Amino acid sequence: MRSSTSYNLWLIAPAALMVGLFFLYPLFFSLYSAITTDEGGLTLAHLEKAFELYSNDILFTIIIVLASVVLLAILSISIAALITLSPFRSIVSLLGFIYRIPLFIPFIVTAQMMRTFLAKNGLMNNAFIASGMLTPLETVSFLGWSGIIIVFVWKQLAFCTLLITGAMAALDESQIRAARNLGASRLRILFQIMLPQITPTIGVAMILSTVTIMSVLSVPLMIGTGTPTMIATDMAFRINSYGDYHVANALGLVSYLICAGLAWFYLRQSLKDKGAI
Amino acid sequence: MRNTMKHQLSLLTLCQSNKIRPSFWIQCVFILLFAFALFGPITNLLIWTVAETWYFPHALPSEWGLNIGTKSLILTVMSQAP
Repeated sequence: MRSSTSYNLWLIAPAALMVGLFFLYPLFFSLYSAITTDEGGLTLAHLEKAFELYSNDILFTIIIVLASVVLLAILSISIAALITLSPFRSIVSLLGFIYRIPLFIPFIVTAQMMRTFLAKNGLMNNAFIASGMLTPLETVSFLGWSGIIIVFVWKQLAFCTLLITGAMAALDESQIRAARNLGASRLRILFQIMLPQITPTIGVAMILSTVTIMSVLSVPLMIGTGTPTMIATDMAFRINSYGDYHVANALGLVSYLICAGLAWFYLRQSLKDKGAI
Repeated sequence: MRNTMKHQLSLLTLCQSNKIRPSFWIQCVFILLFAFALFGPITNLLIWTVAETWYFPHALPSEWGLNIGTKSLILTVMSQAP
C-alpha cells in the first residue's frame, strides 16, 4: 500500500514540478511584487496607486467583460439550440460549418479585420451605403467600447458554441423525444429541459471566455479609443513606459481577484464532473 | 361528425405547415445575418490585401493590385536580412 502511494507520488511529480515552476512560481512572485517594496517590506502603496490612476479602467474592463459575456451567452445558446433542435438539416450543417471559422483566427488578426470593417469608412458602412440603407453622413464608427465588445463576441462565439453544442448533444435524447410527444414546443424544450441540464457547461464556457477576454492586449489597443481602456493595456503601459513592475503587478492582482472567484467555480465544477467532490 | 374531424385535421395540418414556414425563413435570415457578421470582416481583410486605393463611400476599391502586399513582403524580408 505504502509503495503504491509512493509510486503514485513519483508519477505525478514531473507534472506537479512543471506546474509549480512555470505557473505557481510566477503567479506568487507577481503577487508578492504587488504588495512589497524594492527592499522587501510589505506595502499597499502599489495597489493604492493602481486604484488611484486606473479605477476607471478597472470599471471599464468589468463592464466590457460583463457585456461581452451576456451577449456571448445569448448568441451561443441560440446557435447551439438551432444546431441541436432545428428540423432543417441543410441549415444546421451549413451553420455547423461556418460558426467554427473564428476558432482558427488569432485575436490580433481579428482586431485588424474589425478595425477596417467597423470604422466609419469601413466595409460594413460601405455595404450599407451601397445597399441604400444609409447615406454617407449617417454612418457611425464602431471603434471604441462597442467595437471591443463586438470583437470579443465575434472571436469567442465559436468556442462557447462548441462547448454548449457538445453539452446539448450529450443530453439524453429520450427526454427531448418525450417532451415532443407530449406537445412541447422547441422553445419550451430548450428552456425547460435542455438549459437547466447544461447550466454548468454554460458557466464554464463563460468563465473561460472571461479569462481570455481579460488577458487580450491587442484588441483594446487596436479597437479602443485610448481612454478608458482595459487593464491589460494599462499593465503593458506601466511596464513598457515606466518599467514599473509593482503597479503592473498590482493591476494583475486586481485581474486575478476578478478571475479567482470564477476560477474557483470552474475548478469546483470540473472536479465535481470527475466525481472528486 | 366525420366532416368536422376532417376539417379540424386539415386546420391542424395548415397550422403546422404555417408554423414551419416562418420558422424556416427566420432561421434563414438568422444564418444570413450570422454569415454577414462572420464573413464581412474576413472579406474586408482579403479585399484590403489586394486594394491599392479605396475611397469612402465606395463599396469596393477603385484600384486593385499587389503592390502594397509586395512592398510589405520586401520590407519584411529586408528587415530580417543581416
